[in-house]
Amino acid sequence: MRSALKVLLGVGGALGVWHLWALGLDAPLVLPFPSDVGARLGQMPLGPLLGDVLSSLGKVGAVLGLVVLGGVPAGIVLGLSPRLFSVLRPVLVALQAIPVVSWLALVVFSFGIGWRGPVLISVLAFLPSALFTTVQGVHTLDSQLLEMATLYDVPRLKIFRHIILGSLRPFVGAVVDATAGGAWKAVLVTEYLCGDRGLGVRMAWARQSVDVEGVYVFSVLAVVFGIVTERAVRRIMDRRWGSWRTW
Amino acid sequence: MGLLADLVTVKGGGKAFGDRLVFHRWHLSLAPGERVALLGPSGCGKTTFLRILAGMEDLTVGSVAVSAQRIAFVFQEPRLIPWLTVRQNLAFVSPDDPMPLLSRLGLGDHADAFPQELSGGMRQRVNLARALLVNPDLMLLDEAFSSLDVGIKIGILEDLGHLWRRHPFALVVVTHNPREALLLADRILVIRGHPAKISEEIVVSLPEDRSYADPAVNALEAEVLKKILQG
Repeated sequence: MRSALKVLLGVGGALGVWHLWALGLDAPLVLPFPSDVGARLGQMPLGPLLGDVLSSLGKVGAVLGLVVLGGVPAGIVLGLSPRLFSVLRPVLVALQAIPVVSWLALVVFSFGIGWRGPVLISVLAFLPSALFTTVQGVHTLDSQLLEMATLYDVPRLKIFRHIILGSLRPFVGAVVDATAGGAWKAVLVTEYLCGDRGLGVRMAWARQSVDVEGVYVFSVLAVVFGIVTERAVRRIMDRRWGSWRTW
Repeated sequence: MGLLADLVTVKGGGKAFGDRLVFHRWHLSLAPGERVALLGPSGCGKTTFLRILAGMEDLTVGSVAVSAQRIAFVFQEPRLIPWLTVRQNLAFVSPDDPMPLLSRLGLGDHADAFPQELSGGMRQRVNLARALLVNPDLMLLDEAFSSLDVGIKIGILEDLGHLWRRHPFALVVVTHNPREALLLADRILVIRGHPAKISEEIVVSLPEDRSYADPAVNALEAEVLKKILQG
């Protein structure tokens, strides 16, 4: 109850600051009043808006799934094969440094405008760091635990499940945390640039028609859903893995 | 040890790390159910020798043959998996029900606790429980109780003695504490020198049911210390 009150106070405070700032700036084309943004939200038909929110949410889910399900197993393989990692490391570093716009032309030529471009570009943005984080996790495996398991003739699959995957929990948690937090931003930018629907596309349309309040509506929705997604993922992981951040 | 075939035979064992010879010409034969303690200063190769018996390292010279089917190792540090409970840590090495053993070792109420929720002594008991659960025919103890308070240590040593009498497994104990060696072993191999050699073998003529405060143990401890100092 007390934390809900704190959230309400925080949101109220932020809206107050926004209102005062808009009042002082007196430039509705740059910073409209929060009440005008709220009114604009009220004018929007709910069905299409919900469809766009779900479209962006689906892409965020796909990015999160592909980064975790692709990056973590590949990171384990690279972590366990130092030679392969040393060969692929420069490629991964280069991949990490490539800016989003460089992928854009390639993706538009390959897939046209649609959902695949935003998902692919966002995955490419997060995959290298997921790989590096997982590799780092494999490199910090406790050799004493592995030695104990070998000594007691524990089957390899059991060692993999309980020691290797167990040790990687904080690192996988960090990958999920970082991706869940950043995926909304990446998806919205890429939707804006090469998407066919979603909040990013709606933001691009609002910009083109100088619908400033509309741009703010979609930005606020993106922030809210970004926070909700991050919190939800964190809660699921805490329930599933307990105190994975602490050991 | 009579008619029983040896579980462990080491002939002329030596180990070097680079140019440094740590120990050489070690001989050991151990029959099923027999207990031997290696007593010597730090750095004389005792732990390395246990690791060699466990198959984790090789001798540089000499030969080692270990015919034990199930080897258990009680490590100096407990080596428990931090994200598994006590029960899960034990299930990791054996499918057998750990509860009777945990109860016997005073851990019955802590089966669902995580290692970080236990005291050092309790963690070391879990380490011992894990070793006993695999029903070993050879157990290797590497200064497993050296960091424990004396009260906790006495409890664990006496528990181990009781458990050995119920199921006599061969035991190699590494320690630098003569009393620990006297409580757990039938023979004590005193190690000395650089490179380390087995300089003396002391036969422990005590009844199997020994306790830490036993005057006979006190008397024999004085004798062992005298032999160590004379060397």
